[in-house]
Amino acid sequence: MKAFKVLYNQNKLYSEITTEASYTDQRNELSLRAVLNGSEKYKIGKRTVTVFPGNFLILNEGTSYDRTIYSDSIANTFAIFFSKKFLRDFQYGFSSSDRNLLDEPIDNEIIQRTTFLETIYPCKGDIKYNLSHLIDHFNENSDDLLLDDYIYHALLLFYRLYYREVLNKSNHLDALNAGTRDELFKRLSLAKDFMLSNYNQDISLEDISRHSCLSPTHLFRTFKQIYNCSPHQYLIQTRLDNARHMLKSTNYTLNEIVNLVGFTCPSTFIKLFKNKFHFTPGTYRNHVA
Amino acid sequence: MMSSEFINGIPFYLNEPKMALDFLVEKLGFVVHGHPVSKNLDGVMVCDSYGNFYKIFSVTQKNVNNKNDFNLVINTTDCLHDFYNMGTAGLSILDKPHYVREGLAFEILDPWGNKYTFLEKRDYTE
Repeated sequence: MKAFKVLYNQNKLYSEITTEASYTDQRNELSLRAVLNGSEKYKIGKRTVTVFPGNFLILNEGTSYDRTIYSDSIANTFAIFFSKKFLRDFQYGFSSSDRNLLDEPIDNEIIQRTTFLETIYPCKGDIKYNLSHLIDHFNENSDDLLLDDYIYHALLLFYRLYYREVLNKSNHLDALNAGTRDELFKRLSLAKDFMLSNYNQDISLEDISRHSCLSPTHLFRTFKQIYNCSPHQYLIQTRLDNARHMLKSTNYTLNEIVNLVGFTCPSTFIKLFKNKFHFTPGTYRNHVA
Repeated sequence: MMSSEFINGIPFYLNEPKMALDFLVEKLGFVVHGHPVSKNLDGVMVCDSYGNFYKIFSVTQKNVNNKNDFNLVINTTDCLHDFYNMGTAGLSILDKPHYVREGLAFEILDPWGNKYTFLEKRDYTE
């Protein structure tokens, strides 16, 4: 089942509920892509990323990609496409002084196209609440102006997140110059995306290192500067976060979840889960979720 | 079961109690509970759409000269939706939705200067 809506200002909303779908050579405006259930695979150039619940992907205007859903359970995906004009007005509103906005309410200059790092971002906190409300109102076919309020806030929150997750974090790198720092940060983002996309597989530091074009030692050292943990710890956290989502929103048994998120030993999983969330998985499912 | 210690009060002007009640019911969607014991509506309870009860008490103009005296925080589950509805209803918006430590909030004023803060509390611990 698909639902698509073009708002009065050309912003677009799209949702799809399916177990199987494939789209090749897609190209759109700047878009934010989230998954509520299941997963969705994107092939962007030579790399492949998989978006799971709890994360979202940003694709820049004009980026060519293939999109695939192939799942045993039903996948529920959602996307916002920000129109060029909306994006330009948003940026103009924030980059201009109040006086300037009064003198020239409409931006007549050609602003350079904004590009963001095309990576997987955490869908937590305010942006999670915002998207959840937006999806509800989209499904209820609410008024365009109301939907637009949520889209405005989604973009606002994404800018904040971008500042925190990309601009601020990249400054933590001990690189010599800005160019080197940006390139290193991009490669570390590839490492992160590889783990987020393949957390349920048996992956090693060598695999991550190969996909991010960094030596294992360099990856280990610099990853910690950005994410405050080792790649292995990051992978474990990702598995636990996904296990928590499954405990909350699926009927899989504990043993099934252990296998689905990439753990091999249930007792190790229970111990790690309790350490992170202060509840056993069983208690979490029965009393907290 | 509600307890009186959790009931907030809403001040009504003595000279315009009916208009004040209409504002709560028609603009904010409150539901009236109980019967008034006086023409000032003292003793009437109102309930917002989230099930929170408020007690009405009458005040004179002098008591509420300072507009900042009264600020009722109304918990909401969808701040932007409520803001949209308030704007559509033509209410006086004091502050549009903004992010605060507890979540997302906006403020409106009633025609008598009472301030209402709509707050969507959010759990940031996850």
